Amino acid sequence: MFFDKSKIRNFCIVAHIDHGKSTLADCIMAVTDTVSARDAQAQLLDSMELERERGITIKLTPVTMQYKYEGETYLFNLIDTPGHVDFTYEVSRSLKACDGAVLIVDASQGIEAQTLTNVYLALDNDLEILPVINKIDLPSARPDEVKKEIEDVIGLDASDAPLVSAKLCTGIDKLLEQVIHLLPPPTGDENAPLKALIFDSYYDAYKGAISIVRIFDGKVKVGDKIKMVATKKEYDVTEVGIYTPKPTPLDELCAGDVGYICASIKNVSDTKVGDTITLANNPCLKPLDGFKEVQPMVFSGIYPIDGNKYDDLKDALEKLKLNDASLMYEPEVSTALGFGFRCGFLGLLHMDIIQERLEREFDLDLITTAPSVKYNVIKTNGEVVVVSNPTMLPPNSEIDHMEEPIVKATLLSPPEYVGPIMELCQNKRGIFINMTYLDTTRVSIEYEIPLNEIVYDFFDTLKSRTKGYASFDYEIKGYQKSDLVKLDILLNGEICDALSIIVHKDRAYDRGRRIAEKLKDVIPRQLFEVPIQAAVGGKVIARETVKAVRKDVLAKCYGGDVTRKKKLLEKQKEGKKRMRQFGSVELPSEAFLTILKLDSDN
Amino acid sequence: MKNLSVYVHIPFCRQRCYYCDFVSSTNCSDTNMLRYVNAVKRELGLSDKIFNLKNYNLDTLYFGGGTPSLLKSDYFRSILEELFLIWPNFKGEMTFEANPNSISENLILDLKNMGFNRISIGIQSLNDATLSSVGRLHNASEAINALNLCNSYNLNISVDLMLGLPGQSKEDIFSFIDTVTKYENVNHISTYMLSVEEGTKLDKLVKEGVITVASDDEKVDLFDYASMLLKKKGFNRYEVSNFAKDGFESKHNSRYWELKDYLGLGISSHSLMGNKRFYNPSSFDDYYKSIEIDKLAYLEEENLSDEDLEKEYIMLALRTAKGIDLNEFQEKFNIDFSKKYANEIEDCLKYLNINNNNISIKDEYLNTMNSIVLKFI
Repeated sequence: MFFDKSKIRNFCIVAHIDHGKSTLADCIMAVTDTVSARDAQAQLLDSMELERERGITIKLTPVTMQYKYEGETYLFNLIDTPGHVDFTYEVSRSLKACDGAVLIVDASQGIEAQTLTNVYLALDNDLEILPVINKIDLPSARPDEVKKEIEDVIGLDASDAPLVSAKLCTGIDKLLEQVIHLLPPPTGDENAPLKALIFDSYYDAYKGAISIVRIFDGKVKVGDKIKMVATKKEYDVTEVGIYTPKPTPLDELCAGDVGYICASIKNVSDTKVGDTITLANNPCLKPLDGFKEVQPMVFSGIYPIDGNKYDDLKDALEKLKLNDASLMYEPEVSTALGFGFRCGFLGLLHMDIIQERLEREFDLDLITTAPSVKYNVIKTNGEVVVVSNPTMLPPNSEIDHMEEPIVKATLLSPPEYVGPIMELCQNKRGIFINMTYLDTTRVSIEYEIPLNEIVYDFFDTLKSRTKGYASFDYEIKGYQKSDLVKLDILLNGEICDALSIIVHKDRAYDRGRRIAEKLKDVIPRQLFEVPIQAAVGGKVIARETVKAVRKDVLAKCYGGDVTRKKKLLEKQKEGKKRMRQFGSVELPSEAFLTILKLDSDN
Repeated sequence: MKNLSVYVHIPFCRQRCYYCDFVSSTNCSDTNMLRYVNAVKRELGLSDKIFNLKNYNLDTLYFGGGTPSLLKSDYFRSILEELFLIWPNFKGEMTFEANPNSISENLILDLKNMGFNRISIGIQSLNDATLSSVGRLHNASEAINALNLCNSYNLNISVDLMLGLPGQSKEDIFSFIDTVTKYENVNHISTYMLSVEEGTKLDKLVKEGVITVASDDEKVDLFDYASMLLKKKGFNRYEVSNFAKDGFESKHNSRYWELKDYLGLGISSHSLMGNKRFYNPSSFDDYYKSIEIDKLAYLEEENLSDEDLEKEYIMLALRTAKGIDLNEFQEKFNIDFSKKYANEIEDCLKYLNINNNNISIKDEYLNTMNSIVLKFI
């Protein structure tokens, strides 16, 4: 598109979750007449139902808007970024597509953990940052204190920060004025070879995988032969365009533009986020830096409750994968759960979202095994194997030592919860790094914690211990040698593979005992006694028993009412269908979740 | 000629027992009862038109409730007269349910006169405190009087014993069984474990913490104890909840478990005629609305396929000590049970008695029979 580059602003909105990012985006679109009020669905940018429900944005959908200011028409490309740690890499790519960032801070909550993470990411990408105070309509709003917080903690001048209410859509013109004045226009050379950054992609049933791009140099138009620098694959461009917010085809995209490129690409994994697109016959000399393959961090087994639904699950995963290059999966067989898939996720939220989408959009009932992380196992013969599934751990005798991923966790909280937070982190094998008072109401605490402790129930416990006031963020720091063991659960004398987990040696006894206790409550009484044992390296460390059932009979007085008897039995049969047969033991699907919920109740 | 059992439901009670979730009305006015009796007679006439009842041989007749003993003898007689018009030569098992406090010498004379040969008395417990805690209107001494009377008139007597009632101890059960089995004509005992059904007064009282009932395990403890005592007294457990001296098994109830035809008359009664299951509405209004314009009130007529019948047969037969009669199964369904269900039998070997003619659930597993039955159906 030909547009005076000095009138273009490419920016994103960054914020802690729930600080009103999507609401503000909607509001800006309304002010720029981008979406007619009639069409405006609440929070238009979050197009997925699930995202709307959770109030989080996963998919990044840019919007091109026009805004008239002092007789001139400006073009805004607003890039919405996910606010969650799981998607840090995607966020960093989106930020790279921008020249500036609007930083929202909630007028009553102030700075939170993700506010900081996002600010640092934005600064890393050399973005100009424009702070904005949102939710000033709330009675609890304290804009002056929050401004001071921004100045003290982040070091940004917030004296002139616009005060807005995204909910009521007030203060937006002042904000957009500052976007024009304070955020820089794009630079770049239209006549240089094409250099475009893929910062997102999605799958369209008719057009194939679509790359969402920022053009840094050059131009691209229909018919061009493009080349993906990382995958080295070449395609013919079939369509280019911008989002208004609906995809709107254009003749070409030029340096400075944000839009999309379609090129009959079959798979989203061929349009890798972070990759550079150039022209096959006139390639750029050097691709944009910062590309990396995203690596799943959290793994779990996903199985259909009804074993016959394996193919449905497979189809569903294939469909999700079309749109989500970061989802990894491969077939897996468990003695307890039958056929399923080992899936890799960017993090816990990503895992939650995938599970929920599988259940909701594909109507599947699933059993998910305890999440695991990737361990480096250094064998006695020097070989290193990466293990993300506890059952794949080599025998003890072959293991020299193991390494586990460690994260740097940042927790922000009112001072009164510092005690419970430190206790929690300590319980999770955390190592205290630092504590800073941001102001009188806010403390930042840093810990190094093994990721495998975080994947269990860290979030839930943190929330309950701090009444939801603490915020949490983490980044992977690296691997560290650790004394880890495999904890097995035996039911009726047999190891139930789906319940095995890898834990630190010092935690094995406690975990084992609690898992056994929980399982005792969850496993229904059967016709025979079921012993539950927790064992490490073949040595039993805890034992519970599910006593044999004594009464399971329909003994109503009126013998003639066979219909009711039948219905009750049928109901019982339905219940049994949801059970997993493990040897002769019937296991409810909740049994596989017990491991996840060990600490939540204290 | 096909055999048929007939059940007549008399849904009146002076007071509802706290645990009861059967349909009954406490409006025992003469007009109310008369209207009901007339409707039942009309229903019999309508059924006769459809099923041509004369083509059946009446096998057993059972008046249950509710509290049938609340009905005036004349009303009874008038229902029986209609039945005997169809089956004038009926001489089979004829049972009448009664509460201890409604049994009088006159009633017994009338019953014998009308041809009843069996009475089922809802004694439940001989502990007055226990009885009143669940809203039973009789006490122990009334129960003893009733037993004395029925015994002296040579009626076959069945007694109900409920297990798991508030305050019930093993001693209570010992003395109950010891007392009732002293009567030579008490030859049948039904023992039910109390179940707290949703919406009953007992449910409310338990939820409010006013009453504590036994846990399932405690109930089974009491049951096992009662079962042991009854066996010593010569009563065999021939079905999940029923004990009898040899030859005194309830024929009527056995027909249910044998998948034989039975016709229910009156509200909320159930029927099985050939491969059709149907039942009457549980509201008086719905029942009257239909019957009083000469239309049967049946709900949900279920046409059972051969496979349905086969499953029902298994589910019901496994309730009994006799279990599945392999020859009968072969004859009825043209299927070799041992062959078709070889895997299931193998799975359940530990829980089954198997001989050449029968497969049944072992006595000690009858109280946990559901999950065994579910393997077969």
